[in-house]
This record gives sequence, structure tokens and C-alpha cells, in this order.
Amino acid sequence: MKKLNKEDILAASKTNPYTGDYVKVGISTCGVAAGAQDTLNVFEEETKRLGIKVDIRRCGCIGMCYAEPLVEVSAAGLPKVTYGKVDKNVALEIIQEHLAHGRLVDDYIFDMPMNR
Amino acid sequence: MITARINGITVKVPVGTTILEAAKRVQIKIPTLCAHPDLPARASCGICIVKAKGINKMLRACCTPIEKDMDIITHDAEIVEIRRTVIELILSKHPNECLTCTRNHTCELQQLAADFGILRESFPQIEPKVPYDDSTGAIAVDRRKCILCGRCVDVCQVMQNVWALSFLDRGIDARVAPAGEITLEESPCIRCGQCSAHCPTGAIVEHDDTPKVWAALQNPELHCVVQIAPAVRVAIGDILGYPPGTNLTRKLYAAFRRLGFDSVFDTNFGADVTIVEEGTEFVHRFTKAPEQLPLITSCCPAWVDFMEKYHHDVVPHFSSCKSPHQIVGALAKTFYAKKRRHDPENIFVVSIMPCTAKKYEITRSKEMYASGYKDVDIVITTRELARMIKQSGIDFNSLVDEDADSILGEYTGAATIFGVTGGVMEAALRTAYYAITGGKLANIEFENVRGFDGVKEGAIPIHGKTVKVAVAHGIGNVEYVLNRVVEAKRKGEEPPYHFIEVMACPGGCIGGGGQPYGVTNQIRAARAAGLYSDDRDCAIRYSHENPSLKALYDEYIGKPLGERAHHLFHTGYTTYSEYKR
Amino acid sequence: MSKQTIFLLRDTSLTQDNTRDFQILFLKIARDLGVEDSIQAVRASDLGIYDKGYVVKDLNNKITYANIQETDIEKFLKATIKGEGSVDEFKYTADKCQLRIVLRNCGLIDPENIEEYMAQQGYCALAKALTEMTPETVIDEMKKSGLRGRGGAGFPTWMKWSFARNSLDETRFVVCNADEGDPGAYMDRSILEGDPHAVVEGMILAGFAIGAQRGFFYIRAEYPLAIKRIETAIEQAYERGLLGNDILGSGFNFDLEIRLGAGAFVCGEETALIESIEGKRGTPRPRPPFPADKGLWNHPTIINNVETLATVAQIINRGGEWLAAIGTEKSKGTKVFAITGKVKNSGLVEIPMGMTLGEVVFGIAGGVLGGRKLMAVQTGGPSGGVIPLKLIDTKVSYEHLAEVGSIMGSGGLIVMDEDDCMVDIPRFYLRFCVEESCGKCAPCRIGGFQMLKILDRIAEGKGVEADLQQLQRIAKGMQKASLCALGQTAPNPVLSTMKYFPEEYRQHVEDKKCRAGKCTKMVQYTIDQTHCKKCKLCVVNCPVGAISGSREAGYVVDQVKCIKCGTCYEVCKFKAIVRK
Repeated sequence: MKKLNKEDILAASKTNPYTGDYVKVGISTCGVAAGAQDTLNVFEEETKRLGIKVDIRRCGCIGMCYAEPLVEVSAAGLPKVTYGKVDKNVALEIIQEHLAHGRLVDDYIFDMPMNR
Repeated sequence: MITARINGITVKVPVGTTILEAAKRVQIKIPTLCAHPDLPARASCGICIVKAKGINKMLRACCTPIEKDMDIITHDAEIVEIRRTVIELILSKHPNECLTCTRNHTCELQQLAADFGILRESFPQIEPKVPYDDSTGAIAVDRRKCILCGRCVDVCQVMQNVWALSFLDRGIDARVAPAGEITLEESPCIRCGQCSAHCPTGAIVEHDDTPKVWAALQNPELHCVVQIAPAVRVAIGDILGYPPGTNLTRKLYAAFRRLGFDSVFDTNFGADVTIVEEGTEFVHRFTKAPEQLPLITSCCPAWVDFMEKYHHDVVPHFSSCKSPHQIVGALAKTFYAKKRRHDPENIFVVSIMPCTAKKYEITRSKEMYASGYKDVDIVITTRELARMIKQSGIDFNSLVDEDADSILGEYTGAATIFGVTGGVMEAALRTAYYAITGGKLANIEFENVRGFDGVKEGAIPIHGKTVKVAVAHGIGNVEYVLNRVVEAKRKGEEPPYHFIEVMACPGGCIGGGGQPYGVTNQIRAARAAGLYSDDRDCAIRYSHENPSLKALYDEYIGKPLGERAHHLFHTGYTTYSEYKR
Repeated sequence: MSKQTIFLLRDTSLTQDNTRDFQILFLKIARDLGVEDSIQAVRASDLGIYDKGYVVKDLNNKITYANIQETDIEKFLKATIKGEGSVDEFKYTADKCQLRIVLRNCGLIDPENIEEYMAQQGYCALAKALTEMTPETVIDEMKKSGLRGRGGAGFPTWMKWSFARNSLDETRFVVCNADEGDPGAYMDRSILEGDPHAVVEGMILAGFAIGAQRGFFYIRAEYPLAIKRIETAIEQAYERGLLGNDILGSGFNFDLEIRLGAGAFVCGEETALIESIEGKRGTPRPRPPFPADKGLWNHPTIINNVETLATVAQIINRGGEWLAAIGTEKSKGTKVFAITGKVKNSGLVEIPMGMTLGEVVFGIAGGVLGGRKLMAVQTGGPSGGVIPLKLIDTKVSYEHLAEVGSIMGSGGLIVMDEDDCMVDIPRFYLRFCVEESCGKCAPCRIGGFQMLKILDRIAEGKGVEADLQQLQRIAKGMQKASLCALGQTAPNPVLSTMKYFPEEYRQHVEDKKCRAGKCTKMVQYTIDQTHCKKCKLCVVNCPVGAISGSREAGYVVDQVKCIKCGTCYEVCKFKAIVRK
């Protein structure tokens, strides 16, 4: 692999790898302990089976550990939302309602004000 | 040099001086418990804490260097109260058995408690059930009394490089023991006793053999003989009220007779024999069999044990000569028995040694029974002898000097310096020089093998050739010397040394594991000076010129390294692994 | 479909949850207005706003409206969808919210993908430092930032670095202390798992600043995922020439490796950590010399906490003054807290220094679970103290927390309500310290044990007045004479609770009662005669025959015989046994 130089780094900082629809699952220890691995598997298998075109991605601890497993969804033309307490059943609901029909799912959205 | 203030007094000291040392300069003694001048500061006990203006944490005086313009307070109500709390906490995990403890009156914890006027046990006693380890027969460990100061671990690991003791577990369960929780006898322990010499309490002490000696002395059937090592005579004075290094040889002879010994010998006689035998051995190898060089001394049993466990590769280089007291023991039950018509079965030989390893040596192999009986029946240390003297009602200071029984008691100046590091080497070189050249040395005192450097090297010209010698004391210093030897062998080069002396204890036997407590380098130097002075006072300073020795060889032994000499004065070595399990 | 407006709805009242009814009404009015196809009105679980009535958040435009009553809905929809009128008076901005600087990438990027890190200005700081700056200017930037060690001690980071930089010894080391041992603290773990490259970049920058050639991650073995993520990050960095020789063509060489801990809390202490890396027993060394002067193998070593290192790259990217603008006078920047305990929203939050504890607990973390009354919060783990409700407006900063007798610590923040016992909590922390004590120094080894024994007796109802003075005495001895901070700070939870809740101790010692009911040995079982039906079920089931009496006189529990097993409480069908 090519070793980077300064120009490479600056160029990389201007890229945006987050295009397209995605479902992002928090997969650090707090998430895994709450069952996020199962949640991730459901998303990967079901979207493939149903032919829904969406990027399944991973991330670290989102911070609302009491609400794990946490899943961030940016898809179907809707603004980005974060769902919490997403077990396998909720995951299926998100796929069927949000991803397939563009309808947000009640009672699982967590939206906390924070600045990055 | 930096200037600072301690308790309002200005003090000027070199950079790097600890607060503890700086305080001594202005006559202030900060109390300590775990600190020891031989060892780097471990800073565990927490007694030496002091305050410094402008610093809100308390500092440990034993390890903190004093800095420019520091304003230290060593004693105020708060500091003393905290020290008391710490002492009382330590006492709460220490059995309250002073009156029946070996260290009664010499215990450093007892002294602190007394100095601080601790009159009450403020905290409930914590009494763990721990086993008592007397497995070696030389060193006894009572872990209940251990205050975890860590001196023994530092001594065994860093100073002696034996690693028989380590810290196990943590917190309130932390303890000092051989790794793997085996007994000391199963561990690499070489019984040098340095742990017991540094222990501040009664946690590690010498195995007490005095009851057996009393029993023998009271048994009318037994003919009891005693011999005393060189290092004992200049050290026992510490316990009997003399300045360090006072040579009490002839008073001790008198005391022995008062104790009831039938004959009084001197291990130094055995040392002279050792020189004659080993000197001959060396000259033979040096002139006729150089591939067997270097020759390594073997009179230190802890060193022999170390070699048998850790350094099998140098076995062929060890002198086969026994240690001096084993020689005297063997002679006592053969030559002496014959000459004075005693039944050797009833002769009981007691060796007074500065050493705990000698307790193990007397049964280490079949050659220790060369006389047909146990050559030396029992070994007691300097500390045990002092207890016997005190117990016996002898007013030691008022005794009139006496002589030893010269048959196995006469000695030369070369013998007496065995007790200090470099002494064996010097004595051997004196005789070797004569053996090779037939002449006498211009300067009989070899300065370059004297002193307390860990490894001393020298090159002595004899008859056109150069004899390269090395002297190491403290087993931690041996690695360097042996590595050079092994490396040269591996490369097929000439050995870097022809003759190597090793003493397991720092300073040599004068710093032995059985010597009076509280040794420092100053005290070692005083004891060494005592022995060198004894050497100078001797009329004869070459081992081979000892008249009693000459009579012995003429009448009984024959030639050095001859058949009888070999039988009585020489031994073999076995190798075995460091751990018995 | 044309773009819908997405509304999130939530009843943020503390005592009820009528979100569902509100949503039904909202959708009905939307239908009445004919706009139901232009919107989605979704029930949210949590909007991070509390006690502001009904809250509606316009997700597309990111505008939040609070305190909307049922009667305002029509006006609201007309304004937002039809553009008729304004509802600006309902607009609400949370002024106290998290400021995620250290955690900026956690939850955003895939931690195992270096490209995603680099898309967030990853390694730009390294490029800037190696090509445009010198080690001295890097340290200068750190000085301007005012960053203090986030491991708990709060020592100015730039100062530690410059000691090492100015040493005469040319061999130097950087160590990342990832041995996070405080019970309940997992900030460092989340950073290592969620944004490992930030810490790697911080290490390389630290190495450049002090002139080190090697760095070590000391990660506790109980964090396997963190270890794996850091391993991957290091590998990726080597592949791209960000570690190794001649980084970015600057001539600077730096190597990183991982060393694992082995289950000892004490190895989070700097000098014990050094001993551990050197392969020895993990016990502290006396200081001075300090690690920046003589550390690993006697060479200058700087040991920094994970959070501290994760801040470094941003300081270099955005300048020291940027960080110094956040926080209080003596505590700059932000701090990550792991809020746990009896709190509604437990998790990791990152807040600017200077926010009050009350704002954190009630504003961001949703307040006490079940709406119960707050008793105290505990900061600093086993080294810290409690802050009672009356001091809940204490600002979060090194100096303010110290003033009230606690410490910042590494970031653990435990919320306690009235069901928590102020004698049991310090007992838990003290037991932890006693188990984790290395045993080297007598004050901690024996003092901690004796203090714990006293607390155990108090919790069992066997305490006496003198015990409280003994606790103070041993505590003083430990604080002043222990060799390291474990022993020096182990008494803090005890001293702090004794200071703020002396009545609880008095109750335990004199009245032999535990108000919270946590100290089970002192729980008393009594019979409430008004409920008792005299069925004698308790009498029959009591294993020690402690209940006696008659139908006429009633039945009584003999408190001396009672072994507090709770059987009577469990078998009584009439709730006549009172437990307290």
C-alpha cells in the first residue's frame, strides 16, 4: 500500500464517504452487550432478502447507552433519525416501515440535542 | 551543593542527598522501618514521612532528594500522630509475642513501638493462619511476623540473584514466600541467611541449634570440642558491648572453656590446611594443566549450593578442597582422636560460624562423613553463641585471655583473613608464590583484592608469568565474572582469570547471614580491619609455615593432595535443578 | 412523493406520558386541516428535553417547539405547513447540551475504517505538526489550550510533556493509560472502540512533541474489543506510513505497540503501570523521580489518559485558543462522563467544563429514575466523594469539585436516590480498594482493611461511637502516608459521606437502623397488628421461633432472636409484616 503524504491526508479530509442510504448500527461493547450483533444480522439478512438497497454500516458508542441497541437510519428520502432499543423485532419493523415504505416507526426514536 | 532547611536549621549537602541523610547532618534522626543502608529505598512502610512547606503531600524522607530551599519539618504533632497510626496498624497485623521471640530486644519494630510509647492496641488483631517454614534447617520463616518491608526480597533477588523469595498475592493477603508456595527447602534457596540478617523483625531467623549444644555439653560421655571461624571473633563484640571490629579471640577461647568445652580449636587452622591443599591444586593447574583453569574457591557452602543448582558448567573448575571447618572436624575425629586417645564416636564437634549455610553444609554429601562419623556435629551462628554466653552467667568482659589447643588451634595470619572478601585469595597467593618460586613476596598484602567493590580484579606477576585473579562477593556480582569465563571458553580463548574467589555474603564472611544484626558498610569495614590487624600481629603469615600444620602433615597426612589428604580434605559435587518440585 | 414534514412528538412531563393521546389529536387536526399527507407525526421515545410539556420537533428544519398545548395544535400546523401566522413563541433551544469534541466521531464513523476517520480531518493534525510545526510549537499549542490530564489528576498536559522534552536523556517513551479501572467508568473504552485512530494520532503527536521513538498502549485485558480495534488501527496506520520510519517524509520515526493489563486496578497508577510494562510486579514506585524524568527503564516517559490523547489532534487542528475558549478559568475544554446509577438516561455524555451537576443530571440525563428524589451524586469513583442535593449546582470543573470535597476523577458519575444507603456506598468503594490494594505499603494494606472491618460492623448494627473516630484517624493516616493515590484517596468516599450525611452514620451506629434498608443485617421485621389476621403462618415458618404471642395479645417478633431471613415477610398473605 502506498504511504501517505501531506497532500493525500488533506485530500482525504475533503471527501464524504457518506453518500447514499444507510443503516448504521452501534457495535461497541455497550451495544453488543444489549444484542446489537443480532440487530445487525437482521438488517444485513433481511434487506438482502427483500432486495432493499441500503448500506449497512457500523459505528462506535453513540452515547445513549441506556437505549442500546442504537441504529441510525438515513433512507427513503427521510431525514436522519436514531432508533433505540432496537431488538430483532423492532429491526424488522424499521425495515418494513421506514426502509420499504418511508414511514417512521413510533416509540423508538431518540433525538438528543448535542453539538459536535 | 545545595542549601535547605530542616526544622529551621540550615543544612548544606550535595545534590541528590535524601532528606533522611540530610537530616542526619543536623543531628536529626527521622524514624524509619523498611529502609536499610545496603538496599535502595523501597519506601513501603510510611514511617519516615515529613512535611515540606508549600507541598501539600507528605514526602518520604528515605527516597526523596532534598531540593534547594526546601523547608522541611520532620516532627510536629500531625506527623507524629500519623506515624503512630501507621505503627499501630502494623502492630495490628503482627503477633504480640515479643517475650518469646528470637528478636526480643533486637527487633526494629519493637524498638519503634517502644520509642513511640505505644501503650495500647488500638486496632483489632488480624491473625491469618500461615504455615511456619523451617524446612531448610538453617533458616526459619515465621510469616506471621512479616511486615512486608521487602528487604529480604530485594536481598534475595537483587543482591544475591538467587530469587528464592518473592512477593505473592496482593493487598492484605500479600506475603513473602518462594514462588509457587513451595517450602524454602524446595526452592532455589542457598541458605546464605542474608535475608535473616536484614529482616527487621523475627519473621526470618536462624534455626536455633543451641539446645543441642547445651545437651552435648551436659552429657558427661561426650568429649566436646569447639572451633571458631575468623569472622566471628571480630563481630560478636557488637552483641557483648564492644566497638565494632574488636578482636575477641582469646577471651572467646576462655569463654568456651567456661561453657564446658573439653578442647578449643580454631577454624583458622583448617584454613591453613585449605591453603596448603588448594594452593597445591592451583600450582598444579597453573603450571601443568592450564586447560583446567580457572580454579574457583569452594569454602563458601552457599556458593557451592548456588553452583550446584545454577551453574553446572563450572563444576570442573571448583577446587575439590573442603571448607576449613569441615577439615578441622574431620581431623578432630581422626588425627586428634588418635593422638589424644579419645574414642571418635564420643567426640562432639561444634563449629561457631558467621554463616547459616554451614548448618546445611555438614550433611550435604558423604564426604562430610570422611572420619567415619559426622565430621562436624553441629553449627551455631555468632548470634546463637552470644545467647549461650549471656545465658551461662559468664562475665565476658572480665575473662582472662587464654590460648587454644594448638594441635588444631594454631594459625597464621594468612588463615585469619579468610573471613573477609579477598582473604582466601591473598592467603593462597602467598603460598602459591612460594610454591612456584621458592621465595617470599616483597609485599605480602595484596591491596587490589581488598575492599568492598563487588568484583575486584588483579594481575600478580609470579616468576615471569602473570596470575590473573578475580574476587567477587555477594552472589549478585558473580554473574559478571562467570559470564566472562564462559564466554572465553565458548570462543576458545584464554580464560580471563586463573583463580577466582567467591563469597556469597557481601564483605565476605564478616557480613555473613549469622552475624550480629545491623550491619552496614562501616561495620563491615571495621570487622575487616580487625582481621587485617590480626594478620599483621601474627608472627607467621604464610599458611605453609604453620608449625602445627607441618607436624600434622609429617605425622599423619603425608603429601598435599595425597591419598589421605584426599580422603579427609577433599569432596565431590553433584548438580541438581534449582527447584526440588 | 413530495417531501413530507416530519414531526417528532413527545410528552416531556416528568409525571405522566400522554404522547399517544397527543399524537392522535395532532393527526386528527391535521386531517381536519387537510394536511395529513404532507406530514408524518411520529411518537419519539426521548427528545432530550424534560419538563417542557408537549414538545414537537420539526426534523427536516431541526427546529424544536416546546410547551405546545392541545389548543395550540391548529395554530401550529397552520403556521408550519400552510405558512399562516407564526409560532416562534414556542421555539425552544436547549442551551445546556452536550459538546462532543472527544466523542465527535463516536457513533459517526466506522472505527475500523481509516478512510472514514480521515474524512473527518483525521491525521490532518499530524500532517500539520510534522510539516509546519516543531515539537516546541506543538507543546506551546498544548499550553495555550490549557488541557489538563483527564485521568483524574488534572496535571497540565503541556507541562508533563515539556519535562520530558527538556530531559538530557534522549530515549523517551509515550504511554497511553487505558487501564480504566474505576467501577462504572467506561469512557475510555468507548473512545478506544469508537474512535481508535484519534488516540493513535494523539500518541504520535505526543511522541513528536517530546521526542520519543516508541509508544505503548497499556490496555486492560478485560477490554478485548478495544484491544482489537486499536490493533486494527495501528496496523492501518503502519500500512499507510503514519507509523514507522520517516513518517510523512519528515524524518520522524515512531513505533507503537500494545501491552495488556492483567486484572490489577493499581496498575492504572503511573509508576505501577511502568513496573507492569517492565515485566515486574505492579506496585508503585516512590516519587520523585517522576515518570517524565525517570520512567520506563529509567527513561523519561509521559503517561497520558485516553481522553487526553484523543483531544490532542483537535487542539493542533483548531488551535489551543479554541479549546481554551470552552470551560472555566482553570478547567478548559470538555469532559466525558459515564452517568450511571438511578438516572433515566444512563450513558456517556460530554459536557463543557463549567456546566453544573444539576444541569447534567436533570438537563441532559433526564433526571432521577422514576421521578424519585435525588440524594447525591458521586464523582471520581473509589477516589471521589459524594455531592449532596443541596450542592447540586456545583460546577463541573477540577477546582469546583475539589472545593466540595470530591474530585473530577476519570469521569464516573453515579446518581443516587433515597433508596441508597450512604454507609453502604462508601463501603462498596472501600471494599474495592482493599481488594485492589497491591499490599506494598502498610497504611493502605492494613489501614484500608481495618477501615473496612469497621464499616462492616457498622453495617451489621454492631458499630459503636468510637468507630467513627477510628475511621477518621485511619483515614488521615492513609491519606498522608500511603505510597500512591489508591491508598491516599481510598478513604475519600467514607470521609465525604461522613461529612454530608452524618445523620445516616449516627442512625447506623446509635439507632442500629439503616434508613434506606440496604444494610440488610439491620433490617427490622415487625408485625403490623392492624393487618395481622393471626393466622400464625409466620410463627410456624420462622426457622428460629422468634415470633410468639396469642390471639388475644397479638403476635410479636423477638428482635434479639430474629435472624432477619425474611421468611415471615414472604409467607404473610396479608402484608402484615413490616420490613424496614
